[in-house]
Amino acid sequence: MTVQGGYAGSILYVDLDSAQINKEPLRSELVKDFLGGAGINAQLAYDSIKPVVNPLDPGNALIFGVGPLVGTLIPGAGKSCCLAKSPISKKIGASVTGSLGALKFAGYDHLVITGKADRPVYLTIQNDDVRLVDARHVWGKDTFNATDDLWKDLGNEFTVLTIGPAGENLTANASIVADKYSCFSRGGLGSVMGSKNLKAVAIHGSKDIRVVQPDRFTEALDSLNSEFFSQRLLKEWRVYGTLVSLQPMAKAGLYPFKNYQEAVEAGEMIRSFDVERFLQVKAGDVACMSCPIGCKHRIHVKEGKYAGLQFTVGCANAAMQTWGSYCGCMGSWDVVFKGAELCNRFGMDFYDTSALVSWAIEIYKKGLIDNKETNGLELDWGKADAIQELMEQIAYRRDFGDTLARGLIEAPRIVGRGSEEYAVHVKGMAPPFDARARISSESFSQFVCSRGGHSIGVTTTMMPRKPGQMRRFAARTGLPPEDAVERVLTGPEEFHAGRISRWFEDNLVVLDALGICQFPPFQQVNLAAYAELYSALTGIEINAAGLLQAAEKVSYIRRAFNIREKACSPEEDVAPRRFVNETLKFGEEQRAPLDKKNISELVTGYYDERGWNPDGSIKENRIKTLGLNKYLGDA
Amino acid sequence: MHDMAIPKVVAPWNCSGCLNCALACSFFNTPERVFNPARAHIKIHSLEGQNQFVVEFSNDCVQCGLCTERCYYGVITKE
Repeated sequence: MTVQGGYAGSILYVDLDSAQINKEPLRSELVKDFLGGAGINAQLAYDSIKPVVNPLDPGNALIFGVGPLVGTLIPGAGKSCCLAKSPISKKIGASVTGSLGALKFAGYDHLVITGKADRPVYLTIQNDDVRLVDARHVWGKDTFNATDDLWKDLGNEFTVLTIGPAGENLTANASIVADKYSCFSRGGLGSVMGSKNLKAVAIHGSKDIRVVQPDRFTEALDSLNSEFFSQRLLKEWRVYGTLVSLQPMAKAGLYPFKNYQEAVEAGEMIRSFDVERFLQVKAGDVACMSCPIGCKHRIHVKEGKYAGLQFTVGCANAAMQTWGSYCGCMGSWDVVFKGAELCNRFGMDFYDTSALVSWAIEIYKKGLIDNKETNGLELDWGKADAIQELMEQIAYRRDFGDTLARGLIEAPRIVGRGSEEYAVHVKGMAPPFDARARISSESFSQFVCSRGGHSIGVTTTMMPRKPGQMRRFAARTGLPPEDAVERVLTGPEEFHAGRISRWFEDNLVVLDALGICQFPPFQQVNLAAYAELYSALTGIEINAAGLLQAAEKVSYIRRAFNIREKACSPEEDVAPRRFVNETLKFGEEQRAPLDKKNISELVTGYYDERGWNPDGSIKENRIKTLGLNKYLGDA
Repeated sequence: MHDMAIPKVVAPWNCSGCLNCALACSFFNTPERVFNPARAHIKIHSLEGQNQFVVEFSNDCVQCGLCTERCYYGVITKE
């Protein structure tokens, strides 16, 4: 059976060792088992990445995937996924962005890049015309200048994914940047691309995406739209983007201050980053493909030190958190956006880079390093010039930046002197949420996430809910399923953070596999609606339970990958030292450190809800039941 | 009665680049009912070096106006 609708039907393999380019049909069993996007990416990783390989060796693979719903009129169906073995966590490294739909229109569902080119190259994909091109003229350039040069060379109808100097210099925190704003940020994927001497991938396509049952599809789309557009806050999501969460997150103490030493007092956070002043530097809305919300922003700073700064920011909340509160830079949107722009130009992840910078400031202030080690750079909280200089040092591996470029595990080892105590990370990745503020699925799941210290996603547990509300959400979205409700929706806040994380993770894997955005308005749609659209589009009948079972299979493949890498154990699924050793000051409050035993119980609950063993290993009988033996023969 | 209103670009500076208009045009106007912005009668081009866009109807636009129903940013309208 060949796929008929939704899917392009092909996987493109590019081997940089041999410069061989091959196109293979998308096997229907992969579609049946893993749907697409992040799902099939996981299996391609298990298949293509050599076990226990150094992530920066040619044996690692860089894998891109666009799900079956991408490139259609379904709201939010623009998400694409990238995966490689992460040089940070040494596990599955995965990231999602909204700017790779062109791959589908060029005729490919997935792109698998292996090996290492003998000189800098970039890859162009224009339908069936796929080439490796000499990239020496753009190597060394930042992501914005490299993209502009490739747009001039090829035409600006191309989607351009590129790395900056950070990726070229193999820094642990390097990202891949699409069209100058939309980033595969987390997991160090940019340095995997750099290790392959691959500067960029440029894609343009003009092929059809077929719809097997157009009338049924239209009817299902109209039904979903009537539900989707009846939601509250859609206008606010447009205007403020992720800053729509600023007030509730500030009131919950979710903005870490000065390397997680405190949480910013709510009133101070809200005053410092007044959203009406944000609108003075916002110049327009930018959307991912198929998105009616458009949560990204064109920024134009017209006055002051950074007058003339123009760029597009994806997650303004992350920019504010990282280049604002983490680094003690309060009160200036201009400073926040200058930091974000530089970080994107260098091709670096906001969270890991700002965590490295704020760790450096803290140990400098504590006297563990001095200005000889920073080559004269005086580090302090809120000192934007020095912070920006340190970012550049990391990207180019100069001075102390060379130490920081090794990441949140290795840099403290090099410095020593007890500096490890202040490096806040989970498996090398900086966690966006401080779990001392409140245990939710968002903050807890950072400790068990297959890719390291990142939340599985923002879900309904993000904010405290009124009594009964979690059950109402469950009835609406089908999560957790009815037979798990009594087990999962328990406790003082009416959810078990460990158990519920399994179901929310599976839901988000479904969205990543189909190609739907994870933002709350899209999560509020019942999976049955996406299942109906998928069935009409592809001609492959599926229901919500079928989608969730595919997600469970993906979780097994990811876990098996990490077990094969010998990078999985309950001892690893733990909170950062600061979170268990130090009290969190939040305004007048002192929030207690995390109780290790409590976190351990939540981890065990998560494993149990997944059907895993108490030691985190996976059960052979479940592998057989799910039909995964054919993929996991050596697990 | 046949609707004589024609689609028109009224606020190109609002374009977010979502391509919903072009996806709608291709789906509702191709005989095979496919998604393909390259076959749409409305074209979205990036301005050089930026994430800002130029919106143009091609000469073969059938003036059905279905693109305007899928523009959520007030760029095109049917009047």
